[in-house]
Amino acid sequence: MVAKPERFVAAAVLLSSWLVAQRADEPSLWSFRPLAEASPPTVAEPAWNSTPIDRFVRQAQVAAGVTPAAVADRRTLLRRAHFALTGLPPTPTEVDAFVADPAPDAFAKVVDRLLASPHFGERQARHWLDLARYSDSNGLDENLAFAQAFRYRDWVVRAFNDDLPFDRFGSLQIAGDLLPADDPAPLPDRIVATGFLALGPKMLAEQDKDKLLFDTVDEQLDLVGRTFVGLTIGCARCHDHKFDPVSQRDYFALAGIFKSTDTFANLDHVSRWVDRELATDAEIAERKRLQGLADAKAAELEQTERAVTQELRQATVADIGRYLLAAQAALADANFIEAESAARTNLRADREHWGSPACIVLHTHQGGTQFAEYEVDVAHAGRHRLEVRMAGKESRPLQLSIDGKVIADRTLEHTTGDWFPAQQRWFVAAEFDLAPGRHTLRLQGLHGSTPHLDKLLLLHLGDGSTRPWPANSPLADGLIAPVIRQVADSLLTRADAPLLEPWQRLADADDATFAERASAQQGKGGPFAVLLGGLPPQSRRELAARYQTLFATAADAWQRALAAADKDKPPRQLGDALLESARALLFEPGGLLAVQDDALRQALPAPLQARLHELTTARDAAKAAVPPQAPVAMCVRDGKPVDLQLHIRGNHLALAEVATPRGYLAELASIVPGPAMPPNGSGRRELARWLFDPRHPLTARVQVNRTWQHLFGHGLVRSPSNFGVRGDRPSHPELLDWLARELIADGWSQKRLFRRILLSRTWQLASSHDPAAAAVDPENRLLWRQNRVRLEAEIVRDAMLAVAGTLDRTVGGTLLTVKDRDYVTNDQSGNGAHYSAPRRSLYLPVIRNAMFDFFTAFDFCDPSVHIEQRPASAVAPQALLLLNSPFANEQARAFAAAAAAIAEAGPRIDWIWRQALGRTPSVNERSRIAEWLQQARASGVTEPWPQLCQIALASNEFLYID
Amino acid sequence: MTDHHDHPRGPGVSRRQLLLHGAAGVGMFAFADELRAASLLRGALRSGQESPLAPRQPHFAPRAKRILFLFMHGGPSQVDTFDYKPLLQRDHGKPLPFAKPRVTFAETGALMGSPYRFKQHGQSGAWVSELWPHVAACVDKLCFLKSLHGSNDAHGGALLKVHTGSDTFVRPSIGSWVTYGLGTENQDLPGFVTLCPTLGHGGVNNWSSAFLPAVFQGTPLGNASVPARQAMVQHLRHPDRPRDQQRAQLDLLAAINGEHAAARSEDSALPARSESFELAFRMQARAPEVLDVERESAATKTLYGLDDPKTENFGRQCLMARRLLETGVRFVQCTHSYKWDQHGNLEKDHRSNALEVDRPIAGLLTDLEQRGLLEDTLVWWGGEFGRTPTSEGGTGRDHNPHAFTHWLCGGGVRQGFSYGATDDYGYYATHDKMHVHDLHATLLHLLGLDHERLTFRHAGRDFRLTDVAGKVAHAILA
Repeated sequence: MVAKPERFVAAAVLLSSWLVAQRADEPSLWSFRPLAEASPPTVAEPAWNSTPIDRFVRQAQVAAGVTPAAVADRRTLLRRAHFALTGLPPTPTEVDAFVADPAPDAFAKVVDRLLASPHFGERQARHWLDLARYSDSNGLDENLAFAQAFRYRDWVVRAFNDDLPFDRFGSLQIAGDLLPADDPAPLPDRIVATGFLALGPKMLAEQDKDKLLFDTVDEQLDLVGRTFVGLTIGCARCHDHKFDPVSQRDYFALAGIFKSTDTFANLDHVSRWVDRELATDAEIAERKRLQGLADAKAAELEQTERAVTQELRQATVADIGRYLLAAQAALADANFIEAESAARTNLRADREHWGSPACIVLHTHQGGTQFAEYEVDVAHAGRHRLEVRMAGKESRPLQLSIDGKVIADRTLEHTTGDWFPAQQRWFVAAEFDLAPGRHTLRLQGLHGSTPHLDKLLLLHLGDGSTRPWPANSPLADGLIAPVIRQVADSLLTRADAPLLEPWQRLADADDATFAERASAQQGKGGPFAVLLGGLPPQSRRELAARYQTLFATAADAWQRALAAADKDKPPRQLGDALLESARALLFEPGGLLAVQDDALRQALPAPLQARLHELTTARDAAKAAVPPQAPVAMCVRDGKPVDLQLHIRGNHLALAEVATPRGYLAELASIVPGPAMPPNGSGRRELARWLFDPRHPLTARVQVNRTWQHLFGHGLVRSPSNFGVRGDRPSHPELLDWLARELIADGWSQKRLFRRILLSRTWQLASSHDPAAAAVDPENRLLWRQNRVRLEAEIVRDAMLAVAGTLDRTVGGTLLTVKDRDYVTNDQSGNGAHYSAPRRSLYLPVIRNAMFDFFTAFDFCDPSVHIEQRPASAVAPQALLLLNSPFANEQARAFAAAAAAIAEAGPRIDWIWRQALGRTPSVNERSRIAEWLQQARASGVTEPWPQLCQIALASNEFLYID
Repeated sequence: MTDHHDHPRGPGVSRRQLLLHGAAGVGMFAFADELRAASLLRGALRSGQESPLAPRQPHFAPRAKRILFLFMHGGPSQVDTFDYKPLLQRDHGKPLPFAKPRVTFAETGALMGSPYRFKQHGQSGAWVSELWPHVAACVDKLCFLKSLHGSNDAHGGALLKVHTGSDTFVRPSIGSWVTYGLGTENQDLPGFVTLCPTLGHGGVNNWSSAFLPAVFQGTPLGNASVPARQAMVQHLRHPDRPRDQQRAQLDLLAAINGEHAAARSEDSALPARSESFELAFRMQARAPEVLDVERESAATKTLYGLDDPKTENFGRQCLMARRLLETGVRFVQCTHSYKWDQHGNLEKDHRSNALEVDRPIAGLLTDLEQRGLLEDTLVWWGGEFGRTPTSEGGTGRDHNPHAFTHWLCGGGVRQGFSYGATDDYGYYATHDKMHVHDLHATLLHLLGLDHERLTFRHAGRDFRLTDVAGKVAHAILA
């Protein structure tokens, strides 16, 4: 019986590997064998003899009796090259130029142009990010934002664009932070690159912290194993690998390296991952030193200010009687305007909702211009100032005009913390000159809403020869104007304070009747008894003196209480009710002496002012000398070196007695010995050196296979992250090894590898079907044609944007608006990430636990895990997205809008097809489309052209690359 | 973990396996047998156009054909609901007479008796607290599992454990495993639907297919921040394009795709993709119809509590779930989102939580029974963990993965039965202990699936829902 040819190919592949594996002196696994030194064979056809790749490929085809397809036409080839190298479609101009280029190296020029494009790095980076399980959030239990992760992503893009040699590219990701200071990579890159190890999903709220640490080690080890050497080392956590030559001892030798590396800065309830400023230790130390100096200068200023302010405050307490008298006089003379007394307004007065008895004036909710106009009479010519007392939780600027002329275009935009009367404060609206007579002041909301207004105060500032209100009375001599102002304010706003009641009741009494009226109030008890008792005060001055005594006593008692108290538990109030009410009235917010420090310090004598100014200048200079903090990146760092005890059956609570020294996979290390593990370091640097040792049989094989996979849809080994016993065997072992050797010989240049493959005839074959070849090799393992591939999620979206003319081609940066370590998703608020930017999909947030629906629908797998190859499903949610999503419809409309520049239907259809598919429609298509458009018009279809453009973008030809 | 696995080899390759692997794309194939299997699959697709979601035979005769998970997010307290502990009432305020676990989520103090009255109900005499007046009337239909335990005492880990079996790695959800194993009965709708799920505590990982082919991932309708009345398949309808226009548009697309495919007739992916547009078009009509609870009678709506704003939201979820199950959806989940986490104020908040779900759940069970659906529909109720019998801050209870209660109903489980027990205070599961893996193994068993044979090859080994554990609790089978 003759075996079927397809079985023959598969069997031959298996048999050759099996035979090799059985040789006694050889390693037990094919992929552990050293790279073979096969030279490319010679084949008969000259067309197949020009590149080594073609010679290897053709030889295998000849052996199996398979005839390859012809080379693809130029349009197909260009489209394929564009998507493979940059992930963006060619423009019709680029298609025309290439189709018309007679030069023998026309395609080589295209390849070089695309390799030099900044979009090359974007396209290839995304492949790498799949392996690196790149994400902008932690996922798992606590989905915190990785807002710094984009630095790693952007570095990967740059690395591909700069053709960073692959051995350096890999070493930086494993041990960039440990490389010597004279390494050619700049320090920020070296730190950022280790993000590779740090970006994994972590069970941050895991309370068994030993488990958390070891699960993290396991995740990193598994990642490094699958990414760089194609081995599923993670399988050996609990027992020796069932199939591959990886023992549990090997696992723990390697795990020790990562256990000696810190991924967490702390292990709090929600553990904190490590990040680091992108600066050298010396730079960080210098910045800290300068920051220390600046802090010292700031402290000196603050201390001096505190000392002088303290003195001023004590003086004001000692003079509080005089302040009361001066404030009373000022109030008698003040020109307050209640906000609700507007002559014309559409604001409303509210006495109910903001705490009685205050009346708040605020905007109505009807929208439109909100305003209030006041008529004021001015007695004296000259400079005036308008102040407004108001509260605002958010900034609601107003415009001020006087007599129809705008005085301040945007003023009173302050906020006070909240909307309530307790948060009201005075603010200066503007200063201006006024003539005597009646004037109209108009306040108008700039954005249709206003702050909560209480009072206005129009002050005459005079010409500088007299002191302005409230310090304009003789009683104010030697007093501090802002304090008088505060006391006056307090007398108004705290009018209901029981302690102030005696004062308020006698506010209008003159000296002649004062004693009599005071004695009439004596019997009221409480503060009346204390302040008016005994021989009643004969004058306001005497009453002020009694208040002063009471306040001074309260202030003293408070000082003593503060001094006596435990520093951690300062007293909240005084025990004696009367003294407590005096203390509260003095010092609490809104109280008599609640003056801001800086207002108070305006009263300091000139030499002291000068001293403060000097200190302020010194502080500012020291602060300016501190360099800005460098950006921060997620990374790992070396911890305490440890050798691990085996976990029996993987249980972190059941440990073997003897520790396993850190090291490498024993069988591989017998082929490629690694450097000795350092006693004072984690061993990551040594691990990197071992992995990228040119003698290492796996690293280069795995990487060239990945590049092959991205260019053909499948690798020569079709399990790209599993080169173990249960993985696939290479279809072309000699070619694989030849490519690996060339990669190393090229100084690990990836761009040269790409060029080498793209310029082969094999890569350029058409994807056309051949039943005879398919009968022998249905899987196309012999590469008798190019594989047709469906574009990945990101590339589908990018191509739609590019064709619609809406793509923003900016390279790099972050689109995440969530702060670092903030929750991106939670139970109630949904997803905090946004996907509307017309940037390349590479830059859209990748949020674990809540992926962008477009990505998920088109098989962007879970970014929590290493993805070796994307599936390419064809499911209904994709169709729903392409038909109904706002995104698809927006792009179709933009595409149609651009097409509308062409007036005539026929040429417009051609233009649409050339943009989307790089070709003009077939005769058949053209007539179908014309017929459809005609019917659409006849039946009153609303958007025929956008619908047609949408069809082009949803068509199979758009999504599948031949 | 080698010999007991059912992995397709050579001539023994089952058609089911072929279809399943085919959907993953050839890149998933790890060795030569599977590669050949993929080419056979191509043939199958070319001839039969069979979808990976087509219904498939289970391993053995199933007791249930579909399953509904009523997930109580936050961790309902077992000792305040269904696991009555007289000694806890007696020893209120006394210290726990044995050790607390090595790892705890928060600190707790002395024992705290339940603030609720318990009574025995039904023929079975099951103890139920006053929180559940309506569910209490159904106890003779229920099968209580009182000895559940897990391994993680934080919400995220515990949710992932209950949904995927792993609190360490990203693994396929149980719903994905079930649809992977059984396909689904209605090709116009997704096979695995989760109503208003949380995006926190693992989010999509709780309904993701992880390394299983993407067709098996759960389809979320809405999320926890969306009221059930707005839960719908994403992008189901064009915002303003009439159906006849879209039909005409699809016809042109089909013609253009047809011409493209004609020159590539060997490639089965191309017609499959064209067919996906037709399925989407059918789904546009079918899904709103199925999810439209307004088509139900007033009596039914009242039965589910749609007449009361307190029960309306969860009632609507339950009613939507019944309509989905009835049309052949394989796995449905309703989530009562993140309400049950009473570290404090347990008495009041557990009461209002139970109020929101008690009537809808009882209504659902009654309705399913009346329609004869309870015969082969498995209803599964529970949270991600239980709560400590010891008090946290005087009025609450901490997370407790060491003992919690779930219940099952219908689908071939024993009625009026209680399985397993906890210690005198309900802190630890003690008798007939049932780990989450055991629960999963039992649920799969009820659906006719052997949890040790339902495997998928990934990253060099065969994975399954129950990892290397899982015992079927045969005692609860009817």
